[in-house]
Amino acid sequence: MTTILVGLGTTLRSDDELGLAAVQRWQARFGGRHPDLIVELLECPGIELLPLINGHERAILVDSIQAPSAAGVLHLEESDLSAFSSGTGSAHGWGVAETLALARSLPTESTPTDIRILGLPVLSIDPGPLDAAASNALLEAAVLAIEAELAEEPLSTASAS
Amino acid sequence: MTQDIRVQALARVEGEGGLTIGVEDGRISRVELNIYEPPRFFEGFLRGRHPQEVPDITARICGICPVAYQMSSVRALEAALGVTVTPAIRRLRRLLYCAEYIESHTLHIYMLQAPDLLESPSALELAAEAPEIVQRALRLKQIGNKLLSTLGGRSVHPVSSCVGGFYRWPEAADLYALIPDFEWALEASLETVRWAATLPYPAFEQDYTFVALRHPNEYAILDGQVGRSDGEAIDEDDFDRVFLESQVGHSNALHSRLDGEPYLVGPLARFNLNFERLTPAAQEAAASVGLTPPLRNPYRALQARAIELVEVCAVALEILGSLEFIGPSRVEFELRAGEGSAVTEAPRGALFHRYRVDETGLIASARIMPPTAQNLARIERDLWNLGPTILPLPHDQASMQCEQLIRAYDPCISCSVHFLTLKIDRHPEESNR
Repeated sequence: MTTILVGLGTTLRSDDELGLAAVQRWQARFGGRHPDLIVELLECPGIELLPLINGHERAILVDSIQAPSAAGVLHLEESDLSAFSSGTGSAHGWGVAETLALARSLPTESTPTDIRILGLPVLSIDPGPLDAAASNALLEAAVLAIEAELAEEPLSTASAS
Repeated sequence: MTQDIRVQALARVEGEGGLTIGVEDGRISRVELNIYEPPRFFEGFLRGRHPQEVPDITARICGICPVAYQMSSVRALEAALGVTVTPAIRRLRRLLYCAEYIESHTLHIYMLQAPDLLESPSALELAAEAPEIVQRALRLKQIGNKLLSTLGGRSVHPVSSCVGGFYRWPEAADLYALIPDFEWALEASLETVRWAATLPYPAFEQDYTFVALRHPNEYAILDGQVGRSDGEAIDEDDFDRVFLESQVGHSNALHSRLDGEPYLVGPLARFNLNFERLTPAAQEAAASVGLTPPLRNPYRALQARAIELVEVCAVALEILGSLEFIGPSRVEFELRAGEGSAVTEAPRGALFHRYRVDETGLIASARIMPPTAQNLARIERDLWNLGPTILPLPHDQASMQCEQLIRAYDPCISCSVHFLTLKIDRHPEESNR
């Protein structure tokens, strides 16, 4: 059983790239410490997220999130996601919340029991590139948050011990 | 219905846009699909690029149909540069396209349109009521993903295609290993056809001009002449001289017309114009549920997609069972000045690309006509015709029926633009009634 780290977003809509940029920055700095970790970058995967994470023990998802009043990295549970509408910015309306809800409604899906979501609040998702300099502090915090998540044991392992 | 209608966003379509319906004297006076996302300028920033960059850049126009953009672009550039690919390369391109059809059609049939027909809020509720149906959909999609990953390097925005062919041949063993999956997928697609026949479709027959590629020997997806339902056919190179684009004030996406009138591209057009070119498996599947051309109900495009699922699974199985990677995976060529165009059938319909390469070998101009943009005028016409049905209804039901009709087209607004919000804008006297 394995852990998969997934950066989500799109490179075409400014802050919506945060999830991708955070995982890339983490990979450059700490990737070598985790040779068995599976790392993926997905642009607007929609429901394609499901087959990617299925079969893994733990999934850590890093995605931008529309939470205007929030600051810093948000550590979210699946149950928290309903508060954040992924809306039409996601492929065919299938964002992370909808995709995970679908998986949980199908008990035969081998979806990870331990899914952790790091939400990076966006200021803008207008068309254009990410302003990496303006987002530097948030990306740095996200890198450390990813590393901290990886340092923890998966829930099922922790509960078994 | 006496109040304005506002729906913040149309669900379960790719991208975002708005709809305004004006009503005066109890009749619809205006229908505008407001595609207001800023233009994405892909044609502009392709200029000055090396032709070999084009397939990977244009693939980023859409996360749902990147193969279509790659196939139209490589074929258009090969026409411009005088490149003829080998039969083995062409077969592998057909196989790649099969993967995209499986992914796209399965998503639309099961996750996007079927909940409408079953009066279910979304596929989540459908999963609770009939999990085996959603599980079938997910496995079908996963098989499409696996084929796309095997051929294209990854399941979203594949990276293997290039002008002249493929950067390398895939591993034959990896493809052979997919045959059992595709044997299951063919059976699942036949089951999809049978299930689709049981769904309740609104009665809404329309008089369409259908436009689709036609090929003498196969159900055309990758190449052919551009046929239409009046029997006329043109070469791909004449496409943008016959199907004319124009700006409309309410949309950042161009509208296309044929002889001044809207036309329809997509699964209904392909099914109706190319029924006799379907594989025996697909024809038998259609016959088994009494499905014969012409289909003129846009909601029944779901059934055409189901037949096309059978088609692409059968074609994929045939290709997987007779793989031959003969010769180099790509044809070498010299850069030169030239102009070329191509049409391929994206899951949503005919996708036209034209490129001009300058004497330095770089892109001098690019033109792309996505299928959803071509259908926008036709969707507006359908919404006009839906008017008598929706005007007597309460606000919520009228909104929902408009959304469902638009959703039946499986519009990829991201390809043409983004954001869909519905607003019915009544004349002041209407609002006061």
